[in-house]
Amino acid sequence: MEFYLTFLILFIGIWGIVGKENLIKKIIGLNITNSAVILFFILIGHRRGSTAPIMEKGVKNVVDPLPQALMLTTIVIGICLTALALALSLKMYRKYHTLDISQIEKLAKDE
Amino acid sequence: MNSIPLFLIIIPLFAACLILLINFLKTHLRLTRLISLSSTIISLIIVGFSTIHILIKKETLIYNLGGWEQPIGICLHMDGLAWFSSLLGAIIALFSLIYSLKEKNYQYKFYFFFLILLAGMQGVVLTNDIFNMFVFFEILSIASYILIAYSQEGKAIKASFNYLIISSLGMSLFLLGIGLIYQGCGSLSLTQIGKTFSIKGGIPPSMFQLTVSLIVVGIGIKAAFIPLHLWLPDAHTYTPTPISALLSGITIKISFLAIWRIINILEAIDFQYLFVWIGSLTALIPVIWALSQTDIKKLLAYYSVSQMGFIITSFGVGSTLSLTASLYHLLNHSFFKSLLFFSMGGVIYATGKRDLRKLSGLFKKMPYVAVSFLIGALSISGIPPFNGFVSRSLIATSLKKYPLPLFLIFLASVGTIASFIKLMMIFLGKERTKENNSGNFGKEKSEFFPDEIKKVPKAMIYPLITLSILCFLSGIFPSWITRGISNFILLKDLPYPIKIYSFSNIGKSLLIFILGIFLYKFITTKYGKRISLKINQMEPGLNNSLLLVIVSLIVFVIFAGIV
Repeated sequence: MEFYLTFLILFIGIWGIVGKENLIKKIIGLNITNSAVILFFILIGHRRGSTAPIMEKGVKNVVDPLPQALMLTTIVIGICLTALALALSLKMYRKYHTLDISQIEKLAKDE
Repeated sequence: MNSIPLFLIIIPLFAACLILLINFLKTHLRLTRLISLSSTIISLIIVGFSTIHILIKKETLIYNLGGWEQPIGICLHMDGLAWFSSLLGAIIALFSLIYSLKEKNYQYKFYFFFLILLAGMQGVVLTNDIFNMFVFFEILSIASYILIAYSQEGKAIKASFNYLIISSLGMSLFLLGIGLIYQGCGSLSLTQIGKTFSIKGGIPPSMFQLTVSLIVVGIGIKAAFIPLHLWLPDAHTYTPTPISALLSGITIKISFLAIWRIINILEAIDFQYLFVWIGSLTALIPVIWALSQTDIKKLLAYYSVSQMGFIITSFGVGSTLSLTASLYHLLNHSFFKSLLFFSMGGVIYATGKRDLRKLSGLFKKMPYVAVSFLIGALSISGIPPFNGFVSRSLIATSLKKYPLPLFLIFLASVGTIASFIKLMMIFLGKERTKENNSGNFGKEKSEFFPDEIKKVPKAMIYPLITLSILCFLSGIFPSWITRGISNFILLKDLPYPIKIYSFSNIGKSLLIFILGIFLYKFITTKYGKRISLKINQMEPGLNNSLLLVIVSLIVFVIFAGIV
């Protein structure tokens, strides 16, 4: 069930990237896709009824720590990408005074 | 355990950090150049040093990060293929750096991201951990997004944004593929994946196909396969010239080599046959667009895609000969494509113009640039005795069982000749004419005045001359290089000795040349001009190219199921 929901989120994200004309909405779509992949990884390592992988006395039955470690890296990369994409769209807005990708393409062609 | 692979990644990263640390000094720009140049030279020397291990002792250099051995820890591997791409990367990076010293007054940020890009490239080829490969891919991509937008012009920023969105979507798909692999076999080390992640090892076939499709499409965006290449022409056109040479010359190939490695490890043979078709279409279709271009750098950028098609096609055949041909063409293409970009950069530097129609008769003003451009053009169009001829003949020989892809590649070669004759006219066309003799389009008069020309500095000429010599050398010793590639990198013997300079091969290239001249004559007629103007306007936007990514993913999964 959780896997299906994750893939639903993934498709929503892809729809946001592909279908939306607005640059900011595209970036939001990118973030949603990224989060869906992160959720997918976390679900791979997850087991019902297990605890966080902090090894102390009495802790048995832990989840797989590797996907969680990997996803920390992915989250950092996602933040970098989002920041860069927002900066680029700000630059484009200052240049073309619009955030609509099809209009920007038209304006850039005439330049 | 050997620390050579580690140093190749650490040195550019360390130099990049050093550049950021010293930027408060007054003489920081000079120091920055010194640091970046010396770090690139040091990594070249280190790769040269590793040649002893790879070629003579024939061993794989392994470094376990943090002392954790495989499959638990991250491990750096340097085998023949990694050595080859690492060496090529270091050489092209050194040339680009020397070229950039005098071209423009680049700030320290340029050199910082340049070195980060270099570190990312070395990391992608050297790592033996698939998630680590993803991280290095992102390092490489973020550096290249910023370098593409370096000029801060509207088109450059748009190209960078397009590349960012398309490539991040691809990277998400790649990451999903990694997740499926981890779910299937519980390991991220490539060696371990090769052992356990296979259909024989209990992975359902549909899951296997989905995984490989996700990975191939995800990285394939960076390697510019046919429906995924739409970001590339803009991105490679509006970057600073040294970066276009680096991106076209080596970065797209490194992405392709990553696919090569993954497919090799997963033994996804069905996919390999799919590449023959993808590759031959990739060779032909961009040529149609390239013929209609008027921007000199954009024309070259389309040829980066087209030449990648040649490499991918012969990779798809999968025999020892064709794999050798593929690597040989990869080597040659990095030489001549960076040579072509450097010489076009010289033209833009000297005249300040990048429109084909406005340039003509530059031969006398810049003979060095013109001659090296001529050598690059002869190489890319496959005229003997230059290197393009050798590798294209090898590819044609290896494609004997596939007549239709061979024909598509033949057509692509004809188109290549036509558009390079067109480009050559900026040097050979008439000087200071009042009518527009040089261009093929429009009715504008040539606005070219000879006194505007700046002198091209020596630092920009040296890389041109060296690359021209390399193009020539790799063309006249074909048997050594083919044997070297097959014995040391692929670790297989060629089935039979190959004769490159045979009568039939030279005859074929002559035929292509003549047909190319006819095609050139056709596109300069009125009718041809009208067609190319129409094609020029048919450039799909960002949304369409994103849609094509999704469509090609679906097609990939379906076709892999059928084959």
